[in-house]
Amino acid sequence: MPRENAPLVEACGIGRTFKGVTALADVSFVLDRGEVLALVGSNGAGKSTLIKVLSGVHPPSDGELLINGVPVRLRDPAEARQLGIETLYQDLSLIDTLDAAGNIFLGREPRTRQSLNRLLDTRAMIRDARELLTALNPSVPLDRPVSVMSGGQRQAVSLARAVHFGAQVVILDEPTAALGVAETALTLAAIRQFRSQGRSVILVSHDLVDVFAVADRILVLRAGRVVGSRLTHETTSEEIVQMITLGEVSPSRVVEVTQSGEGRR
Amino acid sequence: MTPAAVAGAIQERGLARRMIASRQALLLVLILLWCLVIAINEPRFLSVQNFINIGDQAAILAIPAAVMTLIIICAGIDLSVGSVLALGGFITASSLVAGLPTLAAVLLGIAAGIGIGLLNGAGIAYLGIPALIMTLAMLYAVRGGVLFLAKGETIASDFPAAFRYLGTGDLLGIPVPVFIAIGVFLACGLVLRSTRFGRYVIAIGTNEDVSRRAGINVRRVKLTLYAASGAAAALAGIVLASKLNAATTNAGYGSELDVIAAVIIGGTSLFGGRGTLVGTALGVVFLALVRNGLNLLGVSPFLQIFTVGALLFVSALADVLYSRAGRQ
Repeated sequence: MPRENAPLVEACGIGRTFKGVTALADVSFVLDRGEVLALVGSNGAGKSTLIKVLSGVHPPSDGELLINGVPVRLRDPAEARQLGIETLYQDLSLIDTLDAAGNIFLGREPRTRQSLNRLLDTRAMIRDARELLTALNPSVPLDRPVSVMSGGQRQAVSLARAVHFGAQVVILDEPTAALGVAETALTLAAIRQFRSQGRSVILVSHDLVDVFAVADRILVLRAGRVVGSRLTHETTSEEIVQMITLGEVSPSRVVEVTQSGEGRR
Repeated sequence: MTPAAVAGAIQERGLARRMIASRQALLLVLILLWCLVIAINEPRFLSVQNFINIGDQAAILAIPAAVMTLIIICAGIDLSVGSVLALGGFITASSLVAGLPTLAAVLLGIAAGIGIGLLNGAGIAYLGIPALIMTLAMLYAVRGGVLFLAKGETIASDFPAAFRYLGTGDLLGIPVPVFIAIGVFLACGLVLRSTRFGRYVIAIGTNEDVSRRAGINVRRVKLTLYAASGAAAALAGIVLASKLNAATTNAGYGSELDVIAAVIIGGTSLFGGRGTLVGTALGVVFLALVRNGLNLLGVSPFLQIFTVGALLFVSALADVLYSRAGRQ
């Protein structure tokens, strides 16, 4: 039975090893409804492994994952999706030869209820795709294959797909890495929109400007462990950078390191 | 010029790119030009009887070509259609000789084709054998099986009129095989454009991993496709046996290559994910017109084979250039 007032996602001591090599150890965090959690850390800090655990690609070796307070075992991405966790990998989730609607509904296309009720309801597909995309990125063409679209337009299609599937948790892996300024702004707006709809977002990003622009909380990983977690409005990018590079530091060392860090630049 | 440079040049010139993008229009223009050239040199070409002959000949290839289009869009291939064609004719003809009614004999022949198709599909989708190898194995195995069972002999008999109608009858002067081929094309076109299955064929042919992650049952789609291909090939063999009033053990020998050539000439991409049944229909018609025209002009049959090769090369080249231009 789902616990009342339980957080949407709760990770307790998650660990993952690959052939004896520890990629994640004792990772615990909480994700509330309508919260945007940023996951930051340098390369190899365990961000990718963690989102793969959450999306069912790599089952954890240790620890427990709770959704709505109920322990779950995610054995494959389909199970994660059924529980409302949708993961968007950079450019890896679209069929190039299909149009926006074809991609948004792929695997769950609506069908007409006429005598031959196995035929695609293309009219409904186009109508719903237009509705979903207007809110995310109105520039997406509806009559072209996604192969001719820009990075931002393709991303809007992926996001629309997640919304259509009723995702409760949307995991975004470096969503703005390949985007221009205007498209980045649209993506950040989409994240805020998700939050206002009560969806939760896990944002993996190297770009602290984006992170501070949309995240409610920042979780810092280093060498496979959680260094700390900060509310965005109670921290600074300097502190986060130090946590990423040096791990949790005492206030006295913060000053020291900041100075030496500035000295090197 | 390197292929990349050619692709770049196509990218720059809007007209050339649009022509390649609408390969069907280009093919239609080629067909009309070809008809014009032949008609000027040989007035018999334009006779109604000649066009009926062309349709009659094209129909046998067209039936398996329709399903082959879906298979190639799904990034697969079926080399066994020529052998399955012989199997379908053999099973139906021997059932008729054994005294089965026409409908039962035809259904039995088609069922045999579906059986081989299911074996192909199972080997490809469940055992992970590459389609080229799996269906090549079946090309040999099925042809050998038919030769063995028929002891290498042709099955000819006084077949019932209902059976003969399939290959020799006509409606309003148009041969029944043409209607059968059109029916198969319409069915495949409807499936491709307007069903979930058709979407999944395109999706799998474009990117199998993404399709699987989207929850598509990739194996079942492939299994169904190869079963349908077996059914279509067997049906073509049944129509051919009806037309010839005999089932020969070498029926459809090498026809898998003609079928694939027609699909590729029709603009279906070898890389998967792109293709149309209209294109394949034009490809089938074009191949038949080329053969017929060259025959009428008295060109050596050897040069006819050469011509098919040249056409296929040009089509494959256009496909490669189009794919490059599309990616840039």
